[in-house]
Amino acid sequence: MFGLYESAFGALTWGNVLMLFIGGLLIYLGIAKKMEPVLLVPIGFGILLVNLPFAGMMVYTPDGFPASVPSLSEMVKAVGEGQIGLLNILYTYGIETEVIPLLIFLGLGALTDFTPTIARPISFVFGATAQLGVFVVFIIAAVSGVFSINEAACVGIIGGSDGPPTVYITAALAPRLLGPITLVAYSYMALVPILQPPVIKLLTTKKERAIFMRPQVRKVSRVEVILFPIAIFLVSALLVPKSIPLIGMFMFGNLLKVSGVTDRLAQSAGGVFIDVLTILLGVVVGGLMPAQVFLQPQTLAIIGLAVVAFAFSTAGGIWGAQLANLFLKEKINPLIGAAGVSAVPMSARVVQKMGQKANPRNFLLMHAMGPNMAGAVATSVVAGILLGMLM
Amino acid sequence: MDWGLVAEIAGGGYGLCILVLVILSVVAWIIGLVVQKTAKPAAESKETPTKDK
Repeated sequence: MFGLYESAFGALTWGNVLMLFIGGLLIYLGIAKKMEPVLLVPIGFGILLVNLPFAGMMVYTPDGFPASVPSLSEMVKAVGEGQIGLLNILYTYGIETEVIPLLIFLGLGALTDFTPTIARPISFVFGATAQLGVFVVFIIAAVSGVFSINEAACVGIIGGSDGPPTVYITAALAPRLLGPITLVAYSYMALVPILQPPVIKLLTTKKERAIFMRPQVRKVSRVEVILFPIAIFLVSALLVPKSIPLIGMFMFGNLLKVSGVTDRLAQSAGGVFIDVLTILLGVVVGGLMPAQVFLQPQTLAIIGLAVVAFAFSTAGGIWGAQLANLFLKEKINPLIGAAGVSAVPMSARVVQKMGQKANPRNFLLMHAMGPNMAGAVATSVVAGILLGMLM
Repeated sequence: MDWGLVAEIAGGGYGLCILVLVILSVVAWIIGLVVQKTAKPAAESKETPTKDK
C-alpha cells in the first residue's frame, strides 16, 4: 500500500487479537478493579508488547521458548539483526538466572513483620498444612497426562499462593509455562476474597467461626525478632538445602528490617529496589505469553487447577487448626488456619471479616497474620523440597 | 506415568513439609522461651533495690 513501508495489520492473526484483548483485560482489571495492579498492569502491557507483529521485543524459538541470548560481545549485533529483543535479554539475565524472583523476595523480607508468627509459633504448622493444595494439584496434574511431572509440580505450587517461589521453581523446572503459571498465580491471589469464603463456610460451623480469641497473644522482644530470621534460615537451610536461595533472601531482607541499624538498607530493599524488579518481572512474564504459547489447552487446565489448589490449601489450613484444637486447652478459631494460604494480607483480611461477622467481639487479623507469614516460609520450603526431589 | 514417583513426591513432600515446619515452630518457641527466661532475671535485678551496708 505504501510501497516499501509495511504496517503490522496484514500480519495480525486471530491469536494475536485474542491476546491483545487478554492483555487489555489485565490492564483494565489492574487499573479499574485494583486487582494486583502492581503486577497485572506490567504483565498486561508485556502481553501487548509481544503480540504485535514485527515488534521484535521478544523473539521465540519454534517451540515457543525465548530465543537464547548470545555472549555479551555478540549481543548488540544480535539485537541489531533482530535475532533477539529487549525482553530476551531481561528474561535471560533476570529470570533464567533466577536473579529477579530472589531479589524480590529480599525486598518482601524487608517489608515483612514476623511478630505474630513469633508470638504464636504453632502458626508454622498451619502454614504447613495449608500447602495441601500444592500436592493435591500436583497429583491431579501429573495423572492427567496434560503435564509432565516437573510441570505438574509448578502448577501445584500455585496453591502456595506466593509469587517469588512460584516464579523461582517454574523458571527452573518448566520455563515454557512460566507465563501462564505466573499470571494465574498472581491473578488468583487477588481473587482470594472470592475463592476462600465458600470453602471456609463449608468446612467450619458457625460455632467454630465464633470462637473468641484474646486480641493480644504476648509481647515479643527485640532480641527474639532479631534471632528469628537467623535461626529460621539456618535450620531450614540445613533441613531443605534447595530452599536456601529463597529463604536466605527472605530472611536476610527481614534481618535488615529488624536489626535496627540497617534501616536505610531495609527501606531501599522494600522501596524503589523491589518496585524496579517488579516492573521487570511483570513485563517479562507478559512477554512470555505470545499467542502460540498461551492459547493452548494447558493454559485452560492451569486456570482450572489453580482453583482446586486454592480450595485444598484453604481446607488444609482449616483442618490443621481443627486438629490442633483437639489438643489445645485454649481453643483457637479455626479460621486462622485458612490464612496459612499466604496471599499476604488478603487471606488474613478474609479471616478477620468472617470471624467478626460470626462474633462481633472477635478481632482475628493479628492472629491470622501469624499463619499468613508462616505460609510464605512454608511455600519456600515446599519449593525447596520439590526442587530437591525433581532436579 | 510413574505412579510410584508421583506418590513419593506428593506424600513424602507434604509429610516433609509438615515435619520441617513443625521443627521451625519448635525452634521459634525455644527462642521465645530462652529469651523470656533470660530477660526476666535481668528485669527483676533492676527492680530490686540494693541494700546500703
